Amino acid sequence: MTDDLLLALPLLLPLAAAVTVMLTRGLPRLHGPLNVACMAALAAVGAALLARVHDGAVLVTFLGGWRAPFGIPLVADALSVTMVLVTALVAGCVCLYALVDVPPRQALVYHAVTPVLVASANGAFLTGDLFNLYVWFEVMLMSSFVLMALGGEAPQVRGTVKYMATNLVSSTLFLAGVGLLYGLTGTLNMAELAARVPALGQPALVSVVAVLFVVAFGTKAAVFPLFSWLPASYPTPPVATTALFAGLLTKVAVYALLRTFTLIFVHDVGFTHGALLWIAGLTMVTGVLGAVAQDEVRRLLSFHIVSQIGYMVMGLALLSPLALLGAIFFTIHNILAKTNLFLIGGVMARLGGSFELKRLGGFYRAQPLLAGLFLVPALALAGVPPLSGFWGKLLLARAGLEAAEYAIVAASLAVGLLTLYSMMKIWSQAVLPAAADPARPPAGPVPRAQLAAIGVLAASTLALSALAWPVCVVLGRAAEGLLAPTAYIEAVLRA
Amino acid sequence: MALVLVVAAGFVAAALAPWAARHETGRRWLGPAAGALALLLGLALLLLARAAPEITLPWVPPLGVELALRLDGLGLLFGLIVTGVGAAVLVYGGAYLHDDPLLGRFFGYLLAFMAAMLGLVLADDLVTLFVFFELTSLASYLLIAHEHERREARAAAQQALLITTAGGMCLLVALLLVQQTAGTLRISELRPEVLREGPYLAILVLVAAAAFTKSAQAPLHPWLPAAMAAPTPVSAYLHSAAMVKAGVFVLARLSPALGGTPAWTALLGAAGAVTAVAGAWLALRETDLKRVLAYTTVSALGLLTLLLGVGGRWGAEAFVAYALGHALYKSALFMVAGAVDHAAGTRDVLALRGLAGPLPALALVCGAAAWSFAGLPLSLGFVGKELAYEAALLAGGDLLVGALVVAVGLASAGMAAAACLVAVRPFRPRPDLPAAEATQRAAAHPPAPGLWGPPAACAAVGLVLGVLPWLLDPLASWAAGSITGAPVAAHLEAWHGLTPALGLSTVSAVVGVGTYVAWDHVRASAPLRALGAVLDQAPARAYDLALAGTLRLAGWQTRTFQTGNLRDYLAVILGTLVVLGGLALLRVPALDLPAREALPARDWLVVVLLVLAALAACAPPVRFATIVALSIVGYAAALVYQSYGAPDLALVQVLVETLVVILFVLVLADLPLPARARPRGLRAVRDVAVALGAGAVVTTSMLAVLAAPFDDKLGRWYAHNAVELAHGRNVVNTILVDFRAFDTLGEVIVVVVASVGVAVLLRGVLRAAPEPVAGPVPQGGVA
Amino acid sequence: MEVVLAYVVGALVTLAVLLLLRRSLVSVVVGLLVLGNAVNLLIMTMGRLTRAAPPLVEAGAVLPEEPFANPLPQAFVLTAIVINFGLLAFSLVLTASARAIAGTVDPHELVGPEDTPPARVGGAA
Repeated sequence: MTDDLLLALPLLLPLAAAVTVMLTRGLPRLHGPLNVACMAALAAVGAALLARVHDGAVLVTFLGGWRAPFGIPLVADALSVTMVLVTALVAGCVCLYALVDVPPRQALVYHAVTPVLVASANGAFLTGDLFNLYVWFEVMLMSSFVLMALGGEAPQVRGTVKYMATNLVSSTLFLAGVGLLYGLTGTLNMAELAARVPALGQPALVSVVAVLFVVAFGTKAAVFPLFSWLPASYPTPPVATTALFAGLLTKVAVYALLRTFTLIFVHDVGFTHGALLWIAGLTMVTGVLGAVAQDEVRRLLSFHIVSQIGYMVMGLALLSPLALLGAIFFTIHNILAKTNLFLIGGVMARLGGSFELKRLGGFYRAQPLLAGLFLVPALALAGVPPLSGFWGKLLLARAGLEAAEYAIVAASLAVGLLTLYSMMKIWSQAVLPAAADPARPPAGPVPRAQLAAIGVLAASTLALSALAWPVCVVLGRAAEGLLAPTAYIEAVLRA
Repeated sequence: MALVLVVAAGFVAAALAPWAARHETGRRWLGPAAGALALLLGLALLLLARAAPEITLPWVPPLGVELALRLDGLGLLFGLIVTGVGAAVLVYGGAYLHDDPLLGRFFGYLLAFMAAMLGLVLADDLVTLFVFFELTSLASYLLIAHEHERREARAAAQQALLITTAGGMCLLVALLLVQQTAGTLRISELRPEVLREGPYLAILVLVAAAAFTKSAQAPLHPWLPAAMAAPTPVSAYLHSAAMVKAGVFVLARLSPALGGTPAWTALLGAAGAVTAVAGAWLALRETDLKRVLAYTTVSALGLLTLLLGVGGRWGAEAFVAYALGHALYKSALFMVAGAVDHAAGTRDVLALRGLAGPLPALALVCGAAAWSFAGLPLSLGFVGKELAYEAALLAGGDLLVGALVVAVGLASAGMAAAACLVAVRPFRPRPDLPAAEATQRAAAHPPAPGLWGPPAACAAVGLVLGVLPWLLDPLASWAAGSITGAPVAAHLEAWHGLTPALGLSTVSAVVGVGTYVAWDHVRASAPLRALGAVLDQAPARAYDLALAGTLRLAGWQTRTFQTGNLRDYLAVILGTLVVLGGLALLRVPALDLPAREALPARDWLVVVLLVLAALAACAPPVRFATIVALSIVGYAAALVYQSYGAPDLALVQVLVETLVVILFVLVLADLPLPARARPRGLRAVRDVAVALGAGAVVTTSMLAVLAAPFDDKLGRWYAHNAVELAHGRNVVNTILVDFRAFDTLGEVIVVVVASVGVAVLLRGVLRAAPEPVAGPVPQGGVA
Repeated sequence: MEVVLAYVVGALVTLAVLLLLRRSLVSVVVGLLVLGNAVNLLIMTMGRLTRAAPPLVEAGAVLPEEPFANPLPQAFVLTAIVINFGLLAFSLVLTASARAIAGTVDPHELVGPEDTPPARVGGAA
């Protein structure tokens, strides 16, 4: 298989799945399995790509054959390929979960739009052109609007309104930033930007443009103080949608931050990354405090998304190989754990009839397997060793100490403690106590597909924990590639 | 490899336990089988000891983390405590919880805990040590909450986990600092002189914080008495013999690298002394057997910390003897307390009396264990305490000696009183009083052998070693050597002769017995109440306040940021743009504005029209005129495009703008228009400031960029190659459909998905439509 | 013209933000439209405006007639206009459904239980 096709498949496969779903409207039973199969194939493509780039190589293909900077390149390096692979994994699990969770009236649109969302995320991960990145962000935004509004009840409408307005504003700011950058450099090819921005000799001016990107990506990644839309909207759609959003959407923005603030905006680090460090600390603290205050599973988990984004931004802000490795590792860990927690929350609500902590209970006795499966992502998220979150936190803490940024290290560890507290809150208020209504313990069987989805994600978290060594080696190369992007630039410009 | 197997065996057994407990036979044999496994592992450690094996496996090499295990004297000592006491408790636990439906999980956690503890004591890599340190906290959490439907059990479990994990965070930072300073995580490779060059004090304080939380040093101890909500086997194992010793173990483990400095002695000595005295006397306020024992455990842990602080050969020897002695007698006493509870239905000292009659075996076991507890001769407790006095007397400096002797003496006296309280008061025959209800119940419920056999074994080992302490010499020498970092030839004796230490022992024993006799008065006495208020209620309250304060802060913060009002969210996003953009712009050197070109009147007209139309669109309320103004904005923009060489763009703009107007009219036709038009007050000021700021930031940024030269090589390349390469005459079109067709693909997808979304929404709107429109429709407009 | 447009774009942004912060979703959508127009003008300005011929190649010629306008920003803006239209159509209908389903287009009233901050939090497990 040629590289060109391999690089295009992460987009083509899900788009083909979406078209197939639309074309086979009369065969609704086909759609769910089709999407699961598509994501499995996508994971295989991701693995094949990873096999090509894990040693630090960079693959490039030019769509339509037009060389950079004239055409739009698809660029695969270890970071983008890892994101593609993890995306396929969580999307596959969510599709598996959704086999039994989507109301029939919504099924067609859900199954048609979900692959588009995945395709747009892959487009964002792989594109080497900033304007094209904007386009894929918009595709992602549009698909997520539709998925979020799908329920059509008042909460979904309220959630979508806030999500829509804040994210459209941030997209517009993104576009303005793209425009300004084009006006400054005359190009939007990311590799060429990396080469041309230092040649401008105007780091302060570039930082002005960088601010637009911080605010635009920061809003989409839900960092402090731009995050309020997320807890207001994520708890409203069905769990199968929220889980996908939780795992994916904010992380695409984190990816965009990681990419642009290592490739393009790295010549005025004192200002840009200094600001990012403050943002990181405040994000983790406010997010976790928000989570601690919640008494509803989805809202609690939504605030956690915010808090954890802070860790990823922390790695970016510290801008050392170790810190970036920590940021990437943490991102992957978080995608797996967070998606799984939402899925488990969905199953708990399905069995217990509510998302409110105080109305749930009895799982410890009636559903030991589910309770055990909950502990895996919950403890991982809380950074309990030797699970994946611990390695992420260890990497970041060490990077922070090496940079002598003691405050952020202290904050990150204190936040870890509060994260543990809030995970324990779910455990000891919803899992351990007797069922709220003793006559109706949550004893019903969990659908096999959902249990499989949760199991696969929990196994992935365990695998990430156990395979910390090889993962750190590969991601370490990805981090070095980000810090010294010569390979990236040369692959794109001299291919 | 053998060491890895020793650690792994417990985890494997833990995974199998729930499965084994699914059958009746499995349930019956779970306890004995697990106990046998623990004994086997202890035996394996003993057999391995001669070879002093080490193993290092790569774990996460990029981080310098290795799975390094090493068996040395200290590891062997604690390994034997963990497996020996573990064997007794596991057998006991099987009998204690024989009808518990969650027996399998309980054993799973207990065995996992044992494995984690073994990993901890054998670890030679700081991260390995930390991982097992945290796992013991987690196992403790799950075990304390075993009676999961009880609210107190859950709260106690949470408190224990939060406090010990907070300590764990300190340990994590400490180990990272060590790694940064020493360049290694291997404990056996740490050099004190290297560490003292670095941030020694920070490392010391952080390690001590971790150890003090885990080993319940005052004032961080309240979680330990609270943890008595756990089933008794857990208290006997985790909260007396094993887990709480993990803290002092870490101190002992790091004492060759960190110990011996004045700071070390001061910190550990002071914390240990206060804890030792406070714990022993606070125990005397309690009437629940388990809580009495819990506070004296706090005291014993304080004594162990103190001994590490004193250090040296005597401190190390005393530490070894006392750690072992305490593990044996305290776990035995806890198991007895559990058996009493089982038989008599209560653990309240005030309700228990004359139990020696119905429960002779338990009385004997309790007496034997309490003998050591009280530190009476011919017990391991006595050997340990004598050595502690020796160590205190040999510490340099009169003041220090005085303070230490007083601390050890007061602690010993309190413990002697507590020993009487536990062993004498409930069991002593009281023919003068009518038989208590509890006694009658106990007579009807004699404990099974599984409930008194294991504590009997622990107490017996303690007594044998008390009579023949020299049996421990090889172990004590090796372990004390591991603590001091230099070879020690320890010689433990049952009888030291008429030494000053013996005199002190006698005094403390007498004071202790006297205190017991007067216990009914002492219990509620003012000094004890004051001690409790300062060292017990105050920290417990501080924990509650900290938790409540965090929650209050969390609530306040959430209310502040999460108003639910879209306007606030948008204002924050745009305000952030203004603030950050303003800060960035301030750093740009003075703007070099491009030369003004003369503008034709037509352009001025278009521009003025554009701004005026936008102003009109902005004027509240939204009504048809707004839409007209909006379309004029769009058309004026189209005019700009038209006159600057972009006719296609102008055309599309006009088209889209027209569609937008149509859509707007369709949607607006049916909208109610709220009466309140304008924002007022602070919000209005904020809105205007943000709006002006945003405009200023955008304009200034644009001007700054325009001042720089522009490279239009890309545009020229497209123009020059459109015909040749893309076979198109309209350059913009060739870009859209060929050079950058990928953008267009995304654009098409957006439109398709948007139409799907519109269809979805319209379906919902139509469904909701039959409802009558509520409320009057005001005349004005939407603002 | 570029400098003038910089001020015009700034003015449009200011007005758009004022609209975004109004108490009506309809205003928000109008604001988004104005903001979109402002950014499109920004992109065109950034590609430098020249009073020049459209970038078209005459039949028979290989190169367009100089001076010609920069075609790339035009392509960007064309893509952005269409994308924006899709998003705005959706947001307009969303506004309508907010009216129909949630019963209001006032952001102050579009607050549901998912936004209600916890009034008082219980501490213990």
